[in-house]
Amino acid sequence: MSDGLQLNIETIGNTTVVTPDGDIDLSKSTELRSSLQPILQEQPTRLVIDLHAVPYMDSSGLATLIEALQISRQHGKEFILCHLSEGVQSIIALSRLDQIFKITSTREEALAE
Amino acid sequence: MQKDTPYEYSEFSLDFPASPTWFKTVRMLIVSASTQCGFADRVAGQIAMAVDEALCNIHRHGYGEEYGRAILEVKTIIHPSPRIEITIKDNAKQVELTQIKSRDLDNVRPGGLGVHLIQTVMDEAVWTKRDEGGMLLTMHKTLAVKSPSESKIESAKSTHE
Repeated sequence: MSDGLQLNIETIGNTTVVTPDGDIDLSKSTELRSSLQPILQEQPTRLVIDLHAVPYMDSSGLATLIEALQISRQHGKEFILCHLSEGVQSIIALSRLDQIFKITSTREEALAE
Repeated sequence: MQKDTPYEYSEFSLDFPASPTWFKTVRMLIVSASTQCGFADRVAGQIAMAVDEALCNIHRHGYGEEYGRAILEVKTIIHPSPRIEITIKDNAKQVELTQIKSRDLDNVRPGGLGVHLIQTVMDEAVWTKRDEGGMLLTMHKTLAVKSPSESKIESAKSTHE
């Protein structure tokens, strides 16, 4: 019943842009975590997560993003969320994480940061 | 032909495996039930998220990620104001009620947000231990009814937008 999480990963200069496609819930967050781990160890100085194609995220997805943010900070990388869907905006606001994450409206803004 | 309007009162129940592979189906059911009784799409999505978080907790903490079942019961009422009442029963390990609490959001760390989200979205969420074993979560949400003056102000605002 559960398909794998679709992830598009691009490297643009010193930035890695990860674009997940589909809901990130308890059945998918472990997969996202596993996919982000090697990227977090790599050289790019900035990691952008483009969330326009994620209609729904639960607290396990949020936990994965918080963990990635913390690892990024430890490695001196910039961690940016961009282009949030309405569903993701909603859970981030309800969790008051909009004050913790750096969030931009578009991917272009994230890349220009 | 009679117009297809939602019933004033409806209810359904679902007995299903408390497994993440089922949770998307349950979310879709809750969104549908919530919007049909009058909640906006955004709020319906949040109610579905509250149910999803409750099910995640049952799967992870109640059943320890092993197989187990949950029974979802949903009642929706349209008048006098849209209202949804949801109960979730399980046969999982009973959890001390004092352990079910929202965490300090200023302490940013992965995990522990589920109860906060449930309590923020729903008007009330109450966990109890079932006599026959397992837990029972009862929660509800009612759409706030605007006074005629508030509706007029909102209508005027939307006309100007």
